[in-house]
Amino acid sequence: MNDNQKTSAVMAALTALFAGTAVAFWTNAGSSGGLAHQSFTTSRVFTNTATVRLSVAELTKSGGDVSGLDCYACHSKDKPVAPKFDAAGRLIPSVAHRDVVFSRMNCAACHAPEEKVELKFDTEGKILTPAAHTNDVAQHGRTIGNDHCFNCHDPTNLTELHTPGGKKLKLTESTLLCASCHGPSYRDWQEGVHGRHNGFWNTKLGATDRKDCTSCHDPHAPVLPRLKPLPPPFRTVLKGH
Amino acid sequence: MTRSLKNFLSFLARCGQLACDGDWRYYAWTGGLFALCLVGLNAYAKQFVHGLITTDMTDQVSWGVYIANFTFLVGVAAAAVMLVIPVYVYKNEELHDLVIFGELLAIAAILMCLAFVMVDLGRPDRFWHMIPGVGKFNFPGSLLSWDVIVLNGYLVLNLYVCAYLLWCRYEKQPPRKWLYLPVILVGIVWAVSIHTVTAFLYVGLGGRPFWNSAIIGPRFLASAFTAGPALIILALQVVRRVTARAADELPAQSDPAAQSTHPPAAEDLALLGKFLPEFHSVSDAARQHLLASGTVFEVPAAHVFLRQGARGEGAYFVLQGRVAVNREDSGRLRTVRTLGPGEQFGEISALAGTPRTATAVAESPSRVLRVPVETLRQLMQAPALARVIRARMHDRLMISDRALLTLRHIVQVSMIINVFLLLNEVFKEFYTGNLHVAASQYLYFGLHGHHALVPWIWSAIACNLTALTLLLLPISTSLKWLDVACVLAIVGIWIEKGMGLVIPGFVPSPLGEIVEYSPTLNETLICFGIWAFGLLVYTVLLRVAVPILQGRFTRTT
Amino acid sequence: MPANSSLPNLAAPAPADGGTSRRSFLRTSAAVASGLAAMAASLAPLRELSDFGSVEEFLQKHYKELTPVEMEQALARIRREVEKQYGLRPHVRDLRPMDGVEFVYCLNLTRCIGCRKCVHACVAENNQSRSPEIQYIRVLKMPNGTFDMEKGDHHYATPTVPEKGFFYMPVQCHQCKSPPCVKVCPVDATWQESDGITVIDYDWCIGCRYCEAACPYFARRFNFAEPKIPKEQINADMAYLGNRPRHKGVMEKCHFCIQRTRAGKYPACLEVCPTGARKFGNILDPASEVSQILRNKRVFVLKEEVGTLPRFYYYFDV
Repeated sequence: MNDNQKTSAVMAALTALFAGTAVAFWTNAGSSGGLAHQSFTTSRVFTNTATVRLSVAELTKSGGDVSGLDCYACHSKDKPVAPKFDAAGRLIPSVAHRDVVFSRMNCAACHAPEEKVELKFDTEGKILTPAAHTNDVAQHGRTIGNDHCFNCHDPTNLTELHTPGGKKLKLTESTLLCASCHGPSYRDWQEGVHGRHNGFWNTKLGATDRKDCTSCHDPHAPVLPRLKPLPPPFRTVLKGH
Repeated sequence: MTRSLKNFLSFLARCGQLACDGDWRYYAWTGGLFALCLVGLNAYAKQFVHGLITTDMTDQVSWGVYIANFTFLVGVAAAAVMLVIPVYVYKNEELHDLVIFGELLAIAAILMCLAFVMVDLGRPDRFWHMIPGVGKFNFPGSLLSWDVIVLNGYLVLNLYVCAYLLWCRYEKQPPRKWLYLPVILVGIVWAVSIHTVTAFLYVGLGGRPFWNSAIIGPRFLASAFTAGPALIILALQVVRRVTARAADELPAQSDPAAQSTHPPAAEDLALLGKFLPEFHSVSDAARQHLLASGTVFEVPAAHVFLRQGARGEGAYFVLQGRVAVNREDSGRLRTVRTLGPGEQFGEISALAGTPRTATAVAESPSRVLRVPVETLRQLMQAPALARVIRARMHDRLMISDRALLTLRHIVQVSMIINVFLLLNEVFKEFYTGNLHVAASQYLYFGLHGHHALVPWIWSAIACNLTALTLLLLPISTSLKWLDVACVLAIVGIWIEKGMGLVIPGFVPSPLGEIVEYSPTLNETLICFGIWAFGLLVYTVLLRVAVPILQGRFTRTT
Repeated sequence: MPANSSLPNLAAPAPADGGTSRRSFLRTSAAVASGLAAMAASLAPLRELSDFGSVEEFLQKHYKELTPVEMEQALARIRREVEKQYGLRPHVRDLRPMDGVEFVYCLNLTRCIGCRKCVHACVAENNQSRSPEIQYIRVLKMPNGTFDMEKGDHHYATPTVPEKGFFYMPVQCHQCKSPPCVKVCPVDATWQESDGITVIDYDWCIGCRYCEAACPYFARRFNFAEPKIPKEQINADMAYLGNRPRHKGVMEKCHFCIQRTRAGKYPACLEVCPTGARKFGNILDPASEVSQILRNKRVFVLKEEVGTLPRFYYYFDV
């Protein structure tokens, strides 16, 4: 084959190659070389700013129904309440109080509306504490064991609280009772360093909403409940392989 | 001025025509490269539409194979200067004509670098934001802004030097030293700066301990000056091969009896003066001596004037016709230069007393004036003539084996330094056992079960050490083994400087997370496309430059 | 003339044979034509390009150079684009920094339980892409006794948190006083404002990702694809430098909820934190909780040796 023929052959081959690639490009246009999109939506529970429980102070402030907190609806004024203790000296929580305590938990703070949370009720229509939420009612203090009801509640007046020093406090003033033992936390809380301080940092433009102690800490089981963590970041997978 | 501009534009136009002309091998090569470019272009179109999600880059590993190639190619571009320094600073004549090959390679490499940066941008349409004055340019704060300046400046510099020198040869005018020498000397500093600035892109990141090390800059230069000249060694051999033909293709020598000789007459000197105007400046005494001692040869085509390797002491000037100067290297014969009226050959060996470096043979019936060396010296006492003769001494395409061995020496020394710096790095990383070793740990041994890069880096080290061994042994003075060493060095350095530098900087992430990276098909196709584009540019540039250097492509041919 | 097979003899006369030159013309034209067709076809994927930005956006100047009129035009353009894409009319404004304000964030490591509510509240508030997923905040689960982040777990999914023997450390943009990201941006697309927030002009960023390489805290995120946000989850309360929807090819990061904080509110991550581990405020106000923390608590910053001077302080209760 002489040079001229070789050139013709090459040109013909190139023409075929270009034509072939043109067709390939045109028909293959849709392929994007392997994209991996992970679909993910943000559930509304992730953005819920509510506290885990409704404190008496909050309930009162917001004008809610506090009728269920009337102790003398069940107890009589002249008969004092006798708490029960087990062999190790730990308080045996009363079933009735467990429901009262539990009914002030704010389910929506942790559970998404679309989650089917099944509440069980007893024959009288009271909520039965779910197994997952059976805090030891009255586990205030892990070492000292501040379990005695009347350390905080006034035995002579069940609608009121009293400090160790004998000062009487209303239920809505429970924060001062916490302060009588938890000084450093209370001072931090006053400055906004401890606890939830929401709303406006610039008080000239709006109000700051400072939650009181019992909005987060159930005084009968102050350790914050463990939460289910929200999903981790999508682990980057190999794309296009 | 306008006439010069017109001449230059017509020169460019003719270069364009020349670039489209070639034999079947040229068409096959450029056609194939063009097809590969289109594949890359198509892949990029997909990336442009869908975004960089078509790559395997992530927030953790946010630079990948594009920047790896960019880093490697900046080094190749900088290494063009490794030819310039020996020639202009150390006056090495062997490499003189090869400077242009290095600079053309630099042009192709810089264009590839710019392409790799463009395909890596998330918003390439917004590149105008980087133009000082029009956009907002964070200079001198951002090293990336420095890089934009030095890379584009280097491109302009090399384009200017190559265009000027090639155009001068095309016009058969000696280039004016003040128009190119300062630019070349600036280019030396500039070449070092482009790679140092690119190194500083990485070094300047305090949050990335793998990169935040003073050794990165010197390592960049050492590896660039290894891989660059190695690429040039390979490219030059390709040029030699492509512009050569087998030694036995030379047409049979003409019958020696077919020549006729006579002493020069006034008419011959007039002819010489017509094509070599500087001849008029010689003294009368020298002219008389030439009339007495010179010989005029009238020869048919294929007459051999002098042979490569033989001893001879005359210099020759062509009066009429064309003479080809051919050189045989490793069994292949190449035309070093073709000469027309007024041009000289044989003068170097005559003046230096060395054996003839090439064979001169008439391409057409010619009339040639032979000048004995003492007469030549006398003639060269005229400064104007001496200047032209000296300038023209370098007008040839001499890719001699000695030139390649000089380049080998450069590669050898650079590789020694490169390996030494690697050992420095390895000691610094692994001896103290502090937490910053995590990235190196990942690269060399794997980290917490992730070891994608380990086979790569050890292959790179094996390549580099084998290349170094070959380069240190005399066996690499044979071109076959030199080529092996060059290929190994290029591959080894591409890996260690590309993926072996960029990816470990991101692993582990600043928060300790390990995410690995492995280029997608689309990314790889874009890389191939850009490499094909660079090779295409270099091919076309050589297609134009080689005939100019050989004297085949001038204003009058 | 000696035959040199590699180079055409330019001085050779044109072939006398007209047929040869016609053939060579045809074969060359065929190759060239098919080559050009292939080049055009290679750009076929561009047919799918539907969301290319407007000319206005292309020519828009840098944020710092926009006149008030031009800013209004830009905001109007953004409103139009959001309405077209998501079907709601957003409230987009250009909030300026307040005087005498420098924002600082404090994070209480005693209180963080690693529930990740902050991560997702941020995603919802700031219109971050759900697919591919972008999250500004990264929570690290660290074993007690070490700050070596290599030992951190980013992907924990235990049934409950906190888990015993670990502490949890969320990391987001620290709005450093000496930000390496600002230093390296070649086009000044990211800079620090007077209230300390490091912001990004999403219409100026070229997407080179040098800032992402420079950040020592993995704070910056890049839009590798066009973000996907469900229409019903768009937060319509937007700011130009904050949570207005971004497009592919540009960077984004935590900006301290600039649309909230410059209006005097707390950031979304703080609002949703169930334990009150996050504290935010104006360090120039000595009565703010962050000033109290820096005065009274043991605070530290991450990677202090890198010299970034973060405005994000970690502390413990006692």
